[in-house]
Amino acid sequence: MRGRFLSPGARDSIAAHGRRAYPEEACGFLVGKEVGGIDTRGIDRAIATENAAGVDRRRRFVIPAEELRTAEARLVGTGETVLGFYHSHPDGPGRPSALDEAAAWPGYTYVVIGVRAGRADEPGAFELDAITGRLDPAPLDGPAGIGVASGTSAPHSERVYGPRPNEGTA
Amino acid sequence: MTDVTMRVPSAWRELAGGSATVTVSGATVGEALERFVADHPALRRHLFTPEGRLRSFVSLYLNDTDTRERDGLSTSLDDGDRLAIVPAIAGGAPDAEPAAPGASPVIPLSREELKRYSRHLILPEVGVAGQKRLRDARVLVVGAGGLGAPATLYLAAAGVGEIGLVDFDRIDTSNLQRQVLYATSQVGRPKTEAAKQRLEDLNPGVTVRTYEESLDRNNALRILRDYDVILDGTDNFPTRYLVNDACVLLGKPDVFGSVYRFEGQVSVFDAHRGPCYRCLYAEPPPPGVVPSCAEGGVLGVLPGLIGLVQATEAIKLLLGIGEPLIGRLLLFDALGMQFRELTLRKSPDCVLCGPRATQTELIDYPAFCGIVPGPDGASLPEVSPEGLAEELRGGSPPVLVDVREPGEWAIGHLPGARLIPRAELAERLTELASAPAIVVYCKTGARSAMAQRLLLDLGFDRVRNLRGGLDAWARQVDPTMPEY
Repeated sequence: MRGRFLSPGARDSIAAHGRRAYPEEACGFLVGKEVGGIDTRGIDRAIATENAAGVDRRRRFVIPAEELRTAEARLVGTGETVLGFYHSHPDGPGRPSALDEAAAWPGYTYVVIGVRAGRADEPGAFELDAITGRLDPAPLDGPAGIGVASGTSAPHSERVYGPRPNEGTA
Repeated sequence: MTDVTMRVPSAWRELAGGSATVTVSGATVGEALERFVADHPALRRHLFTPEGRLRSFVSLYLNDTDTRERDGLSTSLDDGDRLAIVPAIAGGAPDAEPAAPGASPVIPLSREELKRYSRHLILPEVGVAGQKRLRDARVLVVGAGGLGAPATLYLAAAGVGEIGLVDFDRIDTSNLQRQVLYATSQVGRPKTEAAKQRLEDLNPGVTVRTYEESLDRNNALRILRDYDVILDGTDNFPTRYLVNDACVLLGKPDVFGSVYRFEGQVSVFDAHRGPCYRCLYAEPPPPGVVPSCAEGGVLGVLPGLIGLVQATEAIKLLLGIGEPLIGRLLLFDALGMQFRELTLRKSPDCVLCGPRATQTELIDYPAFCGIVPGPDGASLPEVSPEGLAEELRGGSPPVLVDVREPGEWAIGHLPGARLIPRAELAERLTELASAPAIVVYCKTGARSAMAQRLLLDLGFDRVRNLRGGLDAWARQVDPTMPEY
């Protein structure tokens, strides 16, 4: 059983960013630590980025590769890494859209939060399933914390990564 | 073999064998990447399309420089180089999410915008969401001429938030017959400057970014990268291929249009969803075979019509409505007043977007189109306007052959010249049989270059072309020669 933990601080940051960016999509990085490979992830912080979508930021978000590169570079030596990304769906649900799935990368946790009329819902977490190409729920447990036992996790060799459609959604 | 360090995002390290950093070898970025995915096949499908091209949302950094700014996958490597694979992250909300019950609708447009765009807003296919989408959109128009002028006027009026305009030219009186963006009082001003003023006056909600430069292989990717849709309003083959290639490499739709005399063509080239311009025309025609509008003329209203079809397609793409002209070539005949349509298919042999594509970067377009002689190609002998004037004052002037049409001849011609339209030249060679030396000319030098080639091929050995044609003659020798 894999564990995904979102700290209250990160949860609040994501909600606040979603409300602030409304009616446009908010997006950013999920930063924290892993235990036992990728079996247990503790997301300690959410770092907001600018939505770089060139068109229709109410329904699209883009985090340029350069932003990710910079974020990872800043974390070198800290023990923290970029574990995934969050974004909001203004007036939409807290689950991935077909666009999100089409553009999803393996290995990352995606947190999606619905923001309706400026009020943020509870976020949901998702990860790419290799075989189906879908972003499947990765239930968030709390409180955040590293050191949760991960001895029951499936061996890594069972993880298979599947195709990702070609189209971006920017 | 060159060894480099390859770094992947930390979240991929399990896919990359447990480490975010591996050593790979290869002479180029493409070779190193190929070695890397050969060792880590689970990542191949995430990095490459089924056709083997690098996915557009993947960036490769070589020692902190995006390889797209260098030679892409062909960038050569040195020992100790650091190569990093970095994905861009994207996604978005579902298209039609129902609003929460009881939630008040959010109107993201100002009162002024609601009034200005009211005829759009009452269209269900546009509405407030569509109008905002236009406001958030960026369209680049390459060429502020016959096609770009009407297209930009309507794109600005429609509320496209940012319009980029590339043109290095200045307004000439001969532009005003069709380039309705400009006024007589503006003749001599840079087109981009006059266009920006006019478009922002038409709609202050629009930002016009101007590029008073010639689009070339060095600046094209940088300029096009910021835009959602590219509208090609160019009048020459090198730039047309350049725009197409840059659009394919960047994954952008290219709204293509062209006009000549009374006929026009429009299509949308989007290599993700259909053919590109190279699928249609793998090679450009030899220089001069297809005359430009400056050579062949154009009915003034025609580029207006074709430019507005292009603007219509650009707006449809931005709104995501209707059936785009992808995979279809619309042909318009103004004299017959007929629209026809050809179906275009993606070429399996396309070097740019086909399954065995070999072109991964921009090339030398003037050379590709044969405009600049290659290393092996000798240019044909020419004479400058001043040189010809000198020879005409001398004792043994050459025979002057005007290869234009009779209507052009009537506007003005060189004294002592004889009119032999290019199409009649092959049948009237006997008229030139006794000429010791010949100089051919036309309006710009393009048609006469073809006539010169024909005469040389048929055995005439002293044939030269008037460089720059009558236009150059009027500028350099005789300002009384009418320009048209």
